[in-house]
Amino acid sequence: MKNVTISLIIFIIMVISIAFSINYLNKVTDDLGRLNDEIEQYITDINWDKAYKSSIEYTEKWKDYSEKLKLFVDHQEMDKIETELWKLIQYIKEKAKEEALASIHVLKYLVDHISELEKVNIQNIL
Amino acid sequence: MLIILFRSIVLYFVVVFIMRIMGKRQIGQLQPYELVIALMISELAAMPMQNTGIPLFYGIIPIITLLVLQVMISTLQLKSEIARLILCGQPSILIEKGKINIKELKNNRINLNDLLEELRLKDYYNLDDIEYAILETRGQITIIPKSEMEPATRKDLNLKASQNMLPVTLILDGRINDRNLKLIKKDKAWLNKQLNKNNIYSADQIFLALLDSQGRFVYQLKKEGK
Repeated sequence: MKNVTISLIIFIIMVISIAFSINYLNKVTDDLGRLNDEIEQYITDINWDKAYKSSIEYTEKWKDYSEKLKLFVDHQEMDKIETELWKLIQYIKEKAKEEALASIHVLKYLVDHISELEKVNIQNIL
Repeated sequence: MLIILFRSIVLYFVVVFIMRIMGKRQIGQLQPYELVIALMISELAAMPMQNTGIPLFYGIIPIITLLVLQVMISTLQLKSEIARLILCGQPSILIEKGKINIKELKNNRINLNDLLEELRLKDYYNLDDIEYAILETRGQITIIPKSEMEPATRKDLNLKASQNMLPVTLILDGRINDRNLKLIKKDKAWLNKQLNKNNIYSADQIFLALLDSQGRFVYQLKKEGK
């Protein structure tokens, strides 16, 4: 009976940790999504200074978040976001509107994608 | 590269810990559902071990889930007859009252050569000697020979023998095992007396001392070992 109890306790701890990690992931993607919208707005308004400042803020936040996210999110997905982020900063710096808009869209999709991958639905399970 | 090293260490201990919780049966003969879990765990542990792109938890979470499933299923089959039947199946009687059950052989896809080979391995060379042969759920064959072919026991020969006891180690590498001494309801004074009887004046000199299955005090000195 001891083994049953130990394994049940481990399992419960695991499920609770999973719930917390998914909650954290959703919080992160919401926060980054909000910043994405903000940067997109600045780019369409051709407000390059603010767009640059926001993209730097994005990078700092990403650095902070990614340390924890790497524990439970596929590292390849994380690398894709990071690559796109580096591109975006340069496009904003060079004031390339089309490229910057395309890049921010890709970033938006990638950030949504990592939380999408964790959703419990039939597509993800199968 | 160092990451892979640390990951392997972590995963090794996780899997050893999980196997320990799963219990002794997991290591010995496996039931079908246990075999599935053992195969899956080895694969799951190996995957994040080599691929640093996969978070370690992607390996650990399914391993823990399998552990819980295994523990639940084995508890269930301990308590329920139906669960046992579904999960482990039933033993099949391959030879019944000295006659081969051809239908059962076909059902289990065992050919005659396999059956005869198994019987030979169990030291039965003639089919006539066998009353029953049962294919157990773990894949082994149990044989019940005809009564006259069974090896004679002490009881058959009316020989008296004293019951063997559990051997108890008392000194291991010079250290006295107090717990075992207590277990056989003796104390250090008794042990010292035993040692003195054999002209030994300190437990330090002894490599191994035990009460064997006949209740005799046997020992080996450190200097006797090479």
